[in-house]
Amino acid sequence: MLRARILVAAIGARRGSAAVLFIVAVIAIAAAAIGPMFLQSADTSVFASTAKAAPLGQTDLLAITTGGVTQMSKLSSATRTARRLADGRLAPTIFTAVVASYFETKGQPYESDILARTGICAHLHVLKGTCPTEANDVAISERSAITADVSIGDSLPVTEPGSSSTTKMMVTAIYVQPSNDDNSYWRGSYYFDFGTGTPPKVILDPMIATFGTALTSRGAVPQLSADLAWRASATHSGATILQSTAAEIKSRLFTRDDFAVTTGLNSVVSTARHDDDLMSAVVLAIVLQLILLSLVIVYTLGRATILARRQESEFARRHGFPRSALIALAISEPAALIVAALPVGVLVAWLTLAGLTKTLFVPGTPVSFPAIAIVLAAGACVAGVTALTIASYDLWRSRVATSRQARRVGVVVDTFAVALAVTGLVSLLTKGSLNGAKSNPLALLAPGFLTLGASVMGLRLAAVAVKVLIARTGESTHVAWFLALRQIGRRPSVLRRLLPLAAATAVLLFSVGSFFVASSNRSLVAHLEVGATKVADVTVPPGLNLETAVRRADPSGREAMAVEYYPSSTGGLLAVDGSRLATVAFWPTALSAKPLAVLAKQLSPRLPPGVSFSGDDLRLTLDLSKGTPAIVLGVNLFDETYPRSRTLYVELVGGLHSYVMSLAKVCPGVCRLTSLAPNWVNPATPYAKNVSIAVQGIAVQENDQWRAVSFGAGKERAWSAQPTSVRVGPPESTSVAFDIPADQLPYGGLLLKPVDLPKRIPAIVTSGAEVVDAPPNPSPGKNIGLSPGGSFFTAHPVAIVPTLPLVGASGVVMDLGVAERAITSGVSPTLQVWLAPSASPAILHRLTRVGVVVGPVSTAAARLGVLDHGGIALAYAIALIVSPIAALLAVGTVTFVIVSDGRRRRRDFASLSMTGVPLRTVRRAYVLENAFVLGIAMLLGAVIGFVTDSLALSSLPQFVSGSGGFPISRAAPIAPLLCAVGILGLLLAAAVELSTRLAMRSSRSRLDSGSVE
Amino acid sequence: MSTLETPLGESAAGAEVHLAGVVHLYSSPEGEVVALRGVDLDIGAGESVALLGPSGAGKSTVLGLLAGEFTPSAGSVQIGEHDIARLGSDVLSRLRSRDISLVVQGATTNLLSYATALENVWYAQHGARRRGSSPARGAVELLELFGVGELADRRVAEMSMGERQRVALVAGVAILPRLLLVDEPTSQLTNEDRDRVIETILTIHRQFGLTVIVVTHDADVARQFERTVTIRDGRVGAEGRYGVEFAVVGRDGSLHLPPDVLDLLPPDSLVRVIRRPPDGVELRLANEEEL
Repeated sequence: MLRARILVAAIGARRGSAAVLFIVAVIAIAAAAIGPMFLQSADTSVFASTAKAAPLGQTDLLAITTGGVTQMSKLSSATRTARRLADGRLAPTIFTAVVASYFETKGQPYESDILARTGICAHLHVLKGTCPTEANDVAISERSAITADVSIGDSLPVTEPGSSSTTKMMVTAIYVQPSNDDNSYWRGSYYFDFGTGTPPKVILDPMIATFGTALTSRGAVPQLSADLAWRASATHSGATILQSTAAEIKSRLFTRDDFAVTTGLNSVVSTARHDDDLMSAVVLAIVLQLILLSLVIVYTLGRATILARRQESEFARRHGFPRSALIALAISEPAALIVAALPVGVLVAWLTLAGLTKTLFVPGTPVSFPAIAIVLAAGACVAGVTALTIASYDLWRSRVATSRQARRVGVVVDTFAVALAVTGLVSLLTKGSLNGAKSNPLALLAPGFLTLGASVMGLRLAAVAVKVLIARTGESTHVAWFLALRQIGRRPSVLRRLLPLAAATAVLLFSVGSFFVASSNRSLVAHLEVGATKVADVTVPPGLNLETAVRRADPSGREAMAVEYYPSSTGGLLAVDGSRLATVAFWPTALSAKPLAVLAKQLSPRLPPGVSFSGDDLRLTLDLSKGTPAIVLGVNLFDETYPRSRTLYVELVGGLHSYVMSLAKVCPGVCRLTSLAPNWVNPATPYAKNVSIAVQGIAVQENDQWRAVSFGAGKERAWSAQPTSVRVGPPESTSVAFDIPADQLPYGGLLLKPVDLPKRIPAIVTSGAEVVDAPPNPSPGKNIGLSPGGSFFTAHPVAIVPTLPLVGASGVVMDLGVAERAITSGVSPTLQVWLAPSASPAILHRLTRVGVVVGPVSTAAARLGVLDHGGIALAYAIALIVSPIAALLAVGTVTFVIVSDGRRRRRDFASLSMTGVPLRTVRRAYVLENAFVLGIAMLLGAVIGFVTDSLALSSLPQFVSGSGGFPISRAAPIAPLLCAVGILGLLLAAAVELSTRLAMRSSRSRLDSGSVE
Repeated sequence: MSTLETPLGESAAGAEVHLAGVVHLYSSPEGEVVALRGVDLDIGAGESVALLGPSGAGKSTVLGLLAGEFTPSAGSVQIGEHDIARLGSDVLSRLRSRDISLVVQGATTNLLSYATALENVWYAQHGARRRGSSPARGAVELLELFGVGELADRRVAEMSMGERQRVALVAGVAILPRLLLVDEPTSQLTNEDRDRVIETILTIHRQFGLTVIVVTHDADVARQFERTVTIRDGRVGAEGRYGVEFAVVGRDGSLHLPPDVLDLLPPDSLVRVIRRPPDGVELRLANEEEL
């Protein structure tokens, strides 16, 4: 009882140091406990973030079957049970029924599915009429309506494969097809395949109908699907629960009813787990080092408080307490404080994480309290008590240690520390963890090893330097320096203070460096993936040219840019308005050797005029050499409104004749003549002479008036021929003539083409772009054959870059005008408007005013938000949060140590002053002494931090080169690092000043009261 | 001769102390410092001895060696039958729990400042209790015996320097040791307190018959003890007994001359040693003719 009273009284008497030790213990325990708590929450957050970033619908359970009303009823029943099993985690089911069907208008057959989908009318932009609600009512897309010449109120004779009967279906609405399927309703299922067929079978967009219409079988069996999407909050339950729920639904319901089920959930979980594993490795490496740092701080604090606790241990030692009693006495007080800190530390960890949840994790992520957190916290407690026991060794040894013994122990400990550090670093180097060749979270251990080794070496070197300096200042008039150095020399143990401070500085700088580098790289990746600050998916009504519309909406050219994206598995083609590329697109300077402004100019060459027109009929006036056998001429046209190629055929006869063709179903908007393709009507025609064809005129009729179309007559190189054995005649003012060897006419492939493309198509090409011809990889200055978007053309690379905005590591950027002429495959591009960072919010309204239909807008900020919630990003964030706490802990400990040291030495200062040394000089000596020791620690820590940054950053996850071709930076961010060093320096300067004031005030009062011996 | 194995209690008696050729070196940043250069000293059981000498002479080092605080670089330190330098930590600790007590310089360093006088004395007996021995005298009894009973419940931090020193001495004898070592007990004290402290030490000596060795630099304080040993430059330079001072011949034959004699025979001077039978010698400075 008395002993307990003495213990309590002792803690009360040293409440200052007890409070500091308690706070340090709380933070160390919190650091240990927060790791598992963080990892558990981060796992959930990473999964939620990965699921959110995955293409919409990927995690859905998609049940597919075929059948009519009965099967749909079974599917509906199964999904209801599934939703019950999922315990509210599944959103309302979206059912879809699709039936293949055909109709014919004015003799032209069209293929157009009947589509019914839950709530579809709310997700389509209906231009005219009302969405179908009755049986056999349908809505048709605007482009289908134009192509098939259908309008509201028309009755379409619809047939289905396998059925000879026809059902009359009434067109009740005209809709605009959605711009893409990447939204919460369509969930990656895109049904709008307009224009993908080849003539004569023209594929139109689907006809929207009710389920009643779709499920009434007229021959074809409807394809049914039920899309069970997880609610956004469901991902917070964790991957394991979702996987088990999905597996249960699959096995218990859908398999039983013979529904095919697909889901990409496992793939998303696998991606998230990979991210989790990397994050866990990074977090564990960081937390481990922070725990070790905390233990070093606890040890330092233990050593610093030895003098305060010495009175009890000396008392006990002198009165013959047994060794066990001495040890108990030496550690009981700090151990009691550490044990008391256990619940507080765990609580602080939980509260800290709860406070940071909104910043770090995906909203809604719960903060858990895993048992392992308590185990680790208890482990940290034990480790802390052990560290203090070791630190308190002097208190429980039976004899006072001689300085020689202390030196010997110091040498052994330091040798061990250096050996451990060198072994660790060599191991990291030999295993390739620091050479940047591959991502390796072990590189995070580098600062720990470097700090340990370099600090110990620095400590030794500093001691040597002090000895040298003592000798030099012996005869010096700089008394303050002499006193300061002598004090350090007399007690080289003060240099030990540099270890936690140097370690904390190094870890802080490494965390700051890695966070800012990772953050900057994430921003770069986010912007490159999106393409620009904001990217709007758009559609344009027939006849409206996107580039022209965007230029009209943004005459300044600094806010918006029209983009057509032709995705392809062999490399995407990005067609951009070259005049705006440099001001709108995101383009890091490291991406290309030349500035983008220069490249953009090279991308937009002067375009040959080509032959474009619009009208109802086309008239070709051709002069075919007389006596020529019958020739069929293919007139290849490109519909610029609905990008597709169409061919009209006309049979030529000898002499000068005009041939008229209807453009009504070919080019409702703007038409471009891409080539003329003459062939013998009969391939076996025995004709040996050259054939001469001269284009004398091209005209279009519009509103009953013929209008001449410029076709390059009289201009050099306005036309070309393929193959080159066909000779293009000299330019004449009224015609273009071709001299064709007869042996070229039996087969296809002979093309007479108006030159509407530059001889060399300039393009920015990625080094990973798939090229058609050898050499396999693009090289600067050499023309390459490219086949993006299904077209083939020869491009001249103006730059070869590792990656491109939006397109990625395999693709091409071309001028929009050039691309529209070069792409003749008829594939529909994704239309986008890219917005510059400086774009006014009103630009979208202006685009709408000029007729552009603006769809979903992607932003780099949103993409960055997703990346910021990735596992590695979370790991760096937690490092950035905890390392300043560790640094503050180290600074706080150092402050405590020097303040108590200053108080202890105030009698010395007063004595010095009484011997004639001015108090001012004593003060300066004390400041110099602390500044010298702390300055060495800071300098050492800063150097280690910078060295570690340059050594290890290249090997940390996210920084390894080659991932996606992104020109990521691994350069240490100088400004944040200097800022961190500056803040630490200021805090230490404040600590020195505080200590000096307290020590000197006491010394002065002692002098005043004459209480010095 | 008393033995150290004698159990603590009524039969307590002083311990004999023998120092032979004790040399002790300290390390400092400037190198090794010789604190003791060969100290030979015998102290009988129950003697009260004052070690006198200027600062840095080595007297506190002698006390530290006797208490087993550190081991001598050379020579032996014998307390009773035990060579204190050769003792293991357990034996040394046991000795401290019942036979040797050290009261170091500065009253506050001997006591727990936040505890009361009673708690300090009780705690001083705790080591013996842990080893299964019951203190012969209770803490209250000891405090009253030495006239500080009224301080029993007062915290040390609230006491005067003299009171602290007296309580420290009571705590020092709480286990009734055979050897009491006291370092500079009167420093920083008023004359009145000094006298009380000396009186307390002498009372302890008289009451229990234990061996008392007190380090002081104050000749007035030293004179109040039976025997005074003067330490100079790390050696025993002189001894005084009952007011008479003697120079001491070292085991190596060396002799420390008193400071006033050094004026006549300065260092490095050549001296003739002239025997004066039956028990004396004369030292005479060599004259120029002899040289």
